Amino acid sequence: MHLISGIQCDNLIVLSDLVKRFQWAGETVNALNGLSFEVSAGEVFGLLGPNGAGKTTTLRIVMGLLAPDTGYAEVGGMRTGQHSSEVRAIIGMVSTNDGVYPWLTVREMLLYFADLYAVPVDRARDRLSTLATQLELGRFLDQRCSTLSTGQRQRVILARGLMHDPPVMLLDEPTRGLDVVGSQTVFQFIAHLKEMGKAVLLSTHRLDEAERVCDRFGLLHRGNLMYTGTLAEIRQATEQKHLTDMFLKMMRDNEQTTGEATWSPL
Amino acid sequence: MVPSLTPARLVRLCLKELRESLRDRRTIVTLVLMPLLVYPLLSLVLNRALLTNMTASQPGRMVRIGIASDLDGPQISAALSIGYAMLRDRSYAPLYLEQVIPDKRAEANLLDADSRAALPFPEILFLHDSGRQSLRDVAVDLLIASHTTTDELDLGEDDAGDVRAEDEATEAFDDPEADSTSTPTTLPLAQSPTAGGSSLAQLNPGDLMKVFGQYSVYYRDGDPQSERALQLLERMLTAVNNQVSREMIGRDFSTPFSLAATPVAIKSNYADLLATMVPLVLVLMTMAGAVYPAIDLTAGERERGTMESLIVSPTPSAVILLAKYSAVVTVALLTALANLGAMTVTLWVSGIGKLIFGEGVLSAGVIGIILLLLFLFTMFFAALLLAVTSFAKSFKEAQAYLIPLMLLALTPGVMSLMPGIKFTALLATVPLVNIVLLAREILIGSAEWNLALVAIICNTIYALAALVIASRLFGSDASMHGSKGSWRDLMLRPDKRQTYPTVDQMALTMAIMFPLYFVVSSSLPGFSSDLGTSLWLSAAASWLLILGVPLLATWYRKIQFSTTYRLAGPTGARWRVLLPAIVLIAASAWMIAHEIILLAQAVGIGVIQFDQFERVAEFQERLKQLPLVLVLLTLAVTPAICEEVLFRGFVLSSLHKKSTTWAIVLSAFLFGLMHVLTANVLAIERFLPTTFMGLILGWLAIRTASIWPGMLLHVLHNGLLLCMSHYEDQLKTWNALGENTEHLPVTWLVAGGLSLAAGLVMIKWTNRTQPVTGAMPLPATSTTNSSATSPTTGSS
Repeated sequence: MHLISGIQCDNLIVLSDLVKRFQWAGETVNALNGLSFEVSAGEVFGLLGPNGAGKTTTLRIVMGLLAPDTGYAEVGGMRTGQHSSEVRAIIGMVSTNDGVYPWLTVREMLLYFADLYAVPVDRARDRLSTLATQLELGRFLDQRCSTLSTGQRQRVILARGLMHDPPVMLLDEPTRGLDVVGSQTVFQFIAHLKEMGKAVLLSTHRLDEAERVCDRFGLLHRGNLMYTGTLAEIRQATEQKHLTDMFLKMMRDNEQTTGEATWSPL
Repeated sequence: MVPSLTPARLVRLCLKELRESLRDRRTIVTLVLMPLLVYPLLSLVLNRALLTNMTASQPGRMVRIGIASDLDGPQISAALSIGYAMLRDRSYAPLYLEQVIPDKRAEANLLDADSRAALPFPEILFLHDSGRQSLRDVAVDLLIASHTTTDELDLGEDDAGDVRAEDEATEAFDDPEADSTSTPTTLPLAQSPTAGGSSLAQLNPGDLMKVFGQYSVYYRDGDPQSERALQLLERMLTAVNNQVSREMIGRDFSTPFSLAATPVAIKSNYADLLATMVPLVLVLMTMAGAVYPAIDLTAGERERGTMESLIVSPTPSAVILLAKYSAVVTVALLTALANLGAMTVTLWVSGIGKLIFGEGVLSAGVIGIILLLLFLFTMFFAALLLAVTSFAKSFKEAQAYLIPLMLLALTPGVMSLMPGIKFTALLATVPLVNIVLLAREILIGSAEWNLALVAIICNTIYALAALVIASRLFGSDASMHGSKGSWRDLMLRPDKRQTYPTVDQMALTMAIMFPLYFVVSSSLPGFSSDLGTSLWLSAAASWLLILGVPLLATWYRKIQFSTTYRLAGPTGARWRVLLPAIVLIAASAWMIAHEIILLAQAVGIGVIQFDQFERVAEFQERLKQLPLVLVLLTLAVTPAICEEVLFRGFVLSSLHKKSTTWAIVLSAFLFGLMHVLTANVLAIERFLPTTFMGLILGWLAIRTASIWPGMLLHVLHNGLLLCMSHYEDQLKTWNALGENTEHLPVTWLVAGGLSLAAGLVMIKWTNRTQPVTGAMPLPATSTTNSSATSPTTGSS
């Protein structure tokens, strides 16, 4: 069951011609250059790109933390800047930099976030037990968060983003710093989210993992969305078989067009 | 879906913050360990300070008895040495005592071998003055202050007379001016009784008889040495009495010497200092208790990486900050409680409290009031801390900001320790100092409620302003949507215009305006003794501060003047109904206000003290000497314009978006509060009637969507009262006015009530339909009303 009932739209996330510029050290940096894509329910969209491509900026605009200069972002049919609390209520956000409260137990922390999202008390308890089973938190549910391992922490943070059962999930580099087993759990869970019909917007640079879990991709480079589509579509467009190769080609192409001599991975 | 904030959810949000704080070891250290260590250490230091000052408690020092200069020192001393000799040589007294006063036997048998060794003959000092200072300074342990001869006692005085004499003596002792200039010069004359014993025969009986009578003696309460001296004196005199009775048998001296001993709660020289230090230490410890949770709950969230997940939740960051604020206040209060407890126990156990504050002053009530003051301070300081720490991105940064803040706080704290610093109007508006000094005043039992209320209100306003700033800053850099947040936006001139002021702009403006206005207006009477000049000065202060500060804020923040101050006037046609309605209200509102005052006084609120009543009467007399135009300009027109702009303009506009009703009520409340404090005295009786007027004026401003009708009503209302006061004598000769304390005639009240209701109904009704002139709803009332007020209107 979703918190928003009666959302009459196929695309839970719609980005239309987003432009965002930052003033930095006296210069104008184009963070986003007319970005447009949609994510529908039950779909995992992978936003791929090197560091500084504009992935986090995009997610922050979707979240309503940043206002775009032009264009707009809609979540569940609502403009993110205008209905910020309604939009926030239907989004679950998990980011790499997220932390935990060292002095609280896992249970206390998760129930606190349920309260922040105004989840009724008994429903919060149900969600907690469901998520504890799904993410295997049961063993350390009453342990202080300071005692958790990195993998356990990451699962707690995932659960934190899901306490209010949001129809839209934004995942910002959810596997950074995790070992193979850890990332495996996370990606399995993303697949599970997809089964549950959630719209997932995933930003990552783990191309191999993204290739397996994402339905569609957006290849982002310096604020430009170079390619969008399913793996097959991008394969066709780039004439490359693997995501990694596509990625490198994209960067090369972009450099040729802009004529800038920058660091090349090759 | 916007989540609704239920109280239960808010409590759970607060609990998380509290749990997080209280589980942290560092919080526990300041909360528990510090008070356990600080106060015993502090008491050791204090004890030393007090003991060097009050050497009396040192064992082995000779007991010193001082005799005031106007007494016959040598004779008394001689009598005492006889008494001592009697005590020492047990051969004397007991035999006789057993027969006459058997129950005194034990007392007479006082000095056994041990105590004789322990208690040598006291040092007798003939003082050069009344000796009070000597007793305070521990130059003497016991003071023989005054003497009532037996003859005087016999002159028909009964017990009541004695009591009165004793009371007078006590009063004289406490009179601080009596000995402010006296130097504690003493002339030591230790006249030890000779080893062979002493007898009355050595003395001239006539001389001895001169010193018979009752002696008022003073001893330091709670000082064992002083109490020992008193005991010794009692024993010696009892012994003398016995001897006199024996040797002068047949003469009518039932009790040649008697004593009236008065304990004196001696404050050492350090008492004032200590009375300041106690609250200062408490305040500083409370600050220390608040600092860590404040950093941890704000900058800590950032450092742990949990801030963003808080900001992206649909719960407004102001609510999250409120939860954090309540947690910081709670932890700080727990710290205050722990410190207050530790301090009370320390003061009690070490006996320092008794020496500082005397008996019974450090009662549960006083401790409760001090806790309340600490709570008030915590409310302010926690908000200030959160405003600073919300700005910081990490723990280190927050600490770097807080060090100057703490130093800044220490300066006024240390300032309040300076000797002779008075709790003045200016200091009552300075945060931290006002709480420390107010606590000191309460501890030494001389608090003034006027200043206390100012301190309380100032603290509350500062706390609100700081909280508003904190809630703006909290999480501001995590969320960059729109221009909300950051110090820049709060302080600098914005680019965009706004239609109405926001609540935080109002809170900040009031936090600047109110203390300034209070300090200025209470220092004005010092400038000129001429009433006319003072009136102009206070009018100037109103123009500058009450009018100037909100206007300046409006200009600086680019808030639209026409909307904020409702500058658009009603149309000419509407004025035709408004004008009579306003006249009706102005003519009748004072009657209701008058009855409200009487009603409040009947339940005991704002009872006017007699001296205050006199002062008001005197003020009114002096007003009558001035030209009416001047009085009207300064006391009717000026406040009407200034206060309407502030309260019905700036304040009302900042509040009315949420709920008009609450905006009217709150602005009226502030309006009433301001009037309680404008004068140098606390005019509590003005609160209710002023708030009542504030309600009418606020309602009028909202109803007519204009500031002008209210301004007119305000001028008319004040003007009418001033005119009535100006022509009081004439009115009285016409029998049109009763005494101020009397209820108005019932016919007046009915007329006034109807007239007020008519005015209000008319205003309500002009807004609905287009005004039709001449259709007065209650023509009969207006006739009654006009006849009732005709003397006033006619003469002005």
